[in-house]
Amino acid sequence: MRLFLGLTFAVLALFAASLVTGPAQTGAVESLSALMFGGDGPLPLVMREIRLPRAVLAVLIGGGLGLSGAALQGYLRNPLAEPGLIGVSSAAALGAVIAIHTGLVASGSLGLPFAALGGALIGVFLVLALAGAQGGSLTLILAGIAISALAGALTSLVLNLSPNPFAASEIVFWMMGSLADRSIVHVWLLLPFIAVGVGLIATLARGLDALTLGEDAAQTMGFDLKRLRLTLVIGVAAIVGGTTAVAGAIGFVGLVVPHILRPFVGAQPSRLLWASGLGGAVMLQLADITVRVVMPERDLKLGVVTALVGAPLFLHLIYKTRAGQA
Amino acid sequence: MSVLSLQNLSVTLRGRAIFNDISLEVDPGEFVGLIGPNGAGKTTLMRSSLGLIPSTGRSSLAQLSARDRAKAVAWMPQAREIAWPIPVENLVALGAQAAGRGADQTAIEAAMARMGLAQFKGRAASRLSGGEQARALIARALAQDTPLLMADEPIAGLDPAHQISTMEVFASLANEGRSAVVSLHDLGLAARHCTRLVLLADGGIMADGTPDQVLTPDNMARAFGVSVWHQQTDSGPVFQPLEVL
Repeated sequence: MRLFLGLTFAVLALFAASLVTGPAQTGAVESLSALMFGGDGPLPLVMREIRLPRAVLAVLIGGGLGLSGAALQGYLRNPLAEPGLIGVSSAAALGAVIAIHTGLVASGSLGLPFAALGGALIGVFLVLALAGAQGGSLTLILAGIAISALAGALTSLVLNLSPNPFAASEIVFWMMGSLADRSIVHVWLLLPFIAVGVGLIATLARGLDALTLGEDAAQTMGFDLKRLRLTLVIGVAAIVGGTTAVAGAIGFVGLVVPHILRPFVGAQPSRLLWASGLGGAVMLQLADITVRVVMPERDLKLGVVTALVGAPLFLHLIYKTRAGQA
Repeated sequence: MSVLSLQNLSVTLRGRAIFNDISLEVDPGEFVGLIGPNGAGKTTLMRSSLGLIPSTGRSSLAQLSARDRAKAVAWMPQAREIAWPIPVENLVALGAQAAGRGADQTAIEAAMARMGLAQFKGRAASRLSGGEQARALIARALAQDTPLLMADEPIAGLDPAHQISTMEVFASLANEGRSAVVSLHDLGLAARHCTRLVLLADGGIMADGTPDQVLTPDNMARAFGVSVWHQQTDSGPVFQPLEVL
């Protein structure tokens, strides 16, 4: 309980910190009062149109990725699982990359997210078709790897064929993930996907607990594993497709956060879901504040920071695991 | 009213017939030992009767919904999988929460006490020794509180004292009017504790009855290819396989 209170407090505190961080040098009290009560000048506009969407997106995306990572790790009973595993993020990225390549982006600010959502949708159908209705967790992993590989190859092909270096660099930068220059429209676009994903994954809590003892035991404890897997894939795909469409590919949050928090919830998969949701929101907000405070003029990408922070953390966890086994 | 009823159950896996036309009734109060050589299909018989693998014929458990089946039978698979280091108490609670029920603390405590796990309550289950893990998983199945318990080699890897006490737990379930169907390789313990033995060999049931009726030198020679020594003593039946024929 203390863990959940602490994480909730951290999410709220970082949310406030995120709102008062940015290139427009203004005081914290001044900024927050402009956000809430409006007023004259550009500040209320900056707060409502730029900073508020950015802070909300960081919470939604980080929370969604943390939650889906915990759900996938629980289902596969593998601490190395992460939301990208089912191939949907690669498929979404491919959709976005095609949008950039074909100039669909110019047709309006939402051309890119819709193309990415289209890619995610095709990806999830392919994964479900490949994995089959009867298969267990192994076929799901294999199908996800196949889709990821195919989408990755096609993304490389698009890069290879890009008409000029500017298009290529735009694609590469987009793929690094960012929350810069997002508007409230992006929030409205993402919100239903997060709501559906969270709603679906929430129904899996007890089934994931039972899966601790393996698929046979979970089935005979009253859980329909086919339905559980379908719910999981659609829930994770909604979250990952939505977040990739809005912010690009952001790695390591769904991998590292459940891993760090697992010991604090007695390793219970159901409790880890919510802890990881809050923890993911904390991690992504920290990263998004970092990119604005460190090197604000260079437009450091969010996905770069999460990877830079996540990889060493992960190495530390490997080291601890090895020490525990020795 | 039987707790398990199989009629003409047959299983074919990858084109190979594992067994054919098995019919079996298990009544309340029976402790059935399922014995037979490696590959005879003991695990397959239990999993198909639970509906976990496809079969032809009829099984009373396989046709239930997942939730109703969880109220009728608790299953302990041979693979003792414990994926995460959850506390023993929470592991046992999974059984009490099966079929969508709320966790019943008295059922959890009773199951742990029965398997001698009280001192392991808060320990991470995946970090216990193999035998302790097996006992925690049996306690989980007991906490599911079903009329029938099915377990695949539950006493393999336990020390002699825990093998005997675990067999006594299954026998006491039978005394309470519940039933257990348990696959076993230790014929000596099977002879002493089971109320009934089912000998599976050559794709069917070779013998079915009391331990005395099933563990005959002739059956043992045909099923396992071993000679045996079987004697009634003051402290119960003693059964020992001797040598390969």
